[in-house]
Amino acid sequence: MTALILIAGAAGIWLAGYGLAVAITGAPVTEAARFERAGLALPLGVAANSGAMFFWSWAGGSLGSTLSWSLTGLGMLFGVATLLWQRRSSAATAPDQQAVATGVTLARCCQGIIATVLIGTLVLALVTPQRYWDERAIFGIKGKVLFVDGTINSPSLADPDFVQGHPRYPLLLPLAEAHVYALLGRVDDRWAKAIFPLLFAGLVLAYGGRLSVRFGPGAGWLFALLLATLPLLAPYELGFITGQGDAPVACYHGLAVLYAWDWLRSRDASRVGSTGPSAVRRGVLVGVLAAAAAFSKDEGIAYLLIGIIALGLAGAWGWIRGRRTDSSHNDRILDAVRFLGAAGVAIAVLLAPWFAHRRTLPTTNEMQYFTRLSAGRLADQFDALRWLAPHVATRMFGEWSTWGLQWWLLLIAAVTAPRRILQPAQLFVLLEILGGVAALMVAGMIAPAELHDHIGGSSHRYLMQLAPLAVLFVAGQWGEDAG
Amino acid sequence: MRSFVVRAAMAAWLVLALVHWEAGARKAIHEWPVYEFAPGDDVLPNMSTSNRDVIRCLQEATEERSRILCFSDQTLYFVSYYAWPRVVLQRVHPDSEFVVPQEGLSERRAAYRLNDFTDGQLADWAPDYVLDYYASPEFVAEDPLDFDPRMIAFLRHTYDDPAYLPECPMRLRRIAEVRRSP
Repeated sequence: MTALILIAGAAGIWLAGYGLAVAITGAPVTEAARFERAGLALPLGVAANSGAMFFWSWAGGSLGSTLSWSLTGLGMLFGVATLLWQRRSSAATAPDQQAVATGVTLARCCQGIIATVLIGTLVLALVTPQRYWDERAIFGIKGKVLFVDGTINSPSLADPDFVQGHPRYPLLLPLAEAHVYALLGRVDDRWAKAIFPLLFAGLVLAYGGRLSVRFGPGAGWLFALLLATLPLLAPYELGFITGQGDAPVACYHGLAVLYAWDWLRSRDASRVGSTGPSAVRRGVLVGVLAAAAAFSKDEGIAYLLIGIIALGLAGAWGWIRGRRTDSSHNDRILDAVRFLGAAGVAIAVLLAPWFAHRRTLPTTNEMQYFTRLSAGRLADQFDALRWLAPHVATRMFGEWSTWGLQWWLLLIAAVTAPRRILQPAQLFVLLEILGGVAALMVAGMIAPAELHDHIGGSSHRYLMQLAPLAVLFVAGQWGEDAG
Repeated sequence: MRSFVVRAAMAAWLVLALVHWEAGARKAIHEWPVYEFAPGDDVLPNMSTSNRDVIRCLQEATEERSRILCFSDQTLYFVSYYAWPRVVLQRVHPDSEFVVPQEGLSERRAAYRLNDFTDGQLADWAPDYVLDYYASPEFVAEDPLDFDPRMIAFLRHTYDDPAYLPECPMRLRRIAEVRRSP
């Protein structure tokens, strides 16, 4: 019975997410795009489900089995309706544009390995109950409280002396776990872990599909295979096989950057056949994914700021470059305004209620980075960089056998195709990574916790959140546009 | 040359992945006898023996939805997680708020004691129970804490060991017992 309930829950999540993916990005017209939508459906579905639960409770409704089964049913209806509409309209779509057989065999081989990895991740996730620090102390306890108390306004969550880690941490994961408990009718934290391999599958499939659209099936799925076999994501014990928050952030942040990168590539006048959704649709998708990252863990808030700066710098660079060869400046500016405007509106609409609610929560054991950030404190703690910089470099490059080769591969890709770094899309991804690493160092400098314990015990998990970006950068350096 | 570098890098990547997956699978098989399909509430994984003892005692001796005010030099996140829907409360000492617990290391962490609060402050918490639970020998030496005989009896029965003694002294009292104490 448990298995049937979990399958129904997963189906509801996936179908709701599929409907959303198609609504935002348009119906898929190629096999690669179908894989992409199918993958994107999973993280979108989880985020939408948790978001719906949050808004419902914020508006005064009760969480519980009735709501969760209603959301599951509505999600199924929405998704099935989308699939039926798609089937009826598919006769009018263009034939598969990836008709070239080149790379298809490699793609199928990669897909087979990826499927094995994803099944293995699900198995490893479900063979143990939740057993690590963050998954129980921060997210799991909130999930249990939400399930029992049935509201985000639980007096326990608002009590500064209630024993929980990070009272102000976002609620996407706890709501997702409470949803599982509501469907099952009981708390069993083993089954709540099923959410995380689904996010991993979504990340990998979306990357595979999107990169296949860009670079052809062989190259696209090869890069997706690299992402799927990144040790830091799985089977690392704090990756997607657990209920920790870093892997979901890697998923949502990785996808937000993927689609922002894809939009920047679509603007490059030298690219062949700029196809795909409009700037507004792309912006909405990036905004939804970035908001989901910020609703998963507080680092997502920092990534919003880093993203704005990185997009601004990369976009400005692209505009400067484009002036020499491209006379349609007004069109490009309008395109950027639409993209950024749509992303900004999506983020504001989705996150404003969370930030309003967050202010009602206690600040016990919160690091309060933004409050503590000041020029004076940074100057006082400048010496901390003497430990921080070598430590982070060791994590990224020295401990490759433990955490993976992604950062070495990034360096090799940069050195073997240096001119491509100047493409706005590649520059954007690089700035995202550098910004993320800089943010880690700043956090270490201003946090109230002891530096070695704090950053020493968490830097590898933080770098997990940036790991998909390394694969994306490599793909952009080595991938050749499909004709 | 670039093609060779790319292929070599990807081959190294996939070999590393295989090594990690082999290790991951081996670890899962090795750990299976500990977990099987038992719920986390039964296994109480990855925590100190004393935390397990506290959790089991609270689950046995207190009602669901009761409020348990804890005075401890320990981090009680796992106690709160497994004791829920009992509400575990603890006023964390400011000097301990950002101390990161280190596995295998016991160090004295600043902590409050019951006597640090007035009856009025206790009433604000509206607890049903008060738990005293200290691991640091210095805390125990300064304010001797006897082992709670009811908890000892329960744990000896649970572990089927008539000589069992918890690692850390702990005492659970109803709030009415606490208010009557001088």
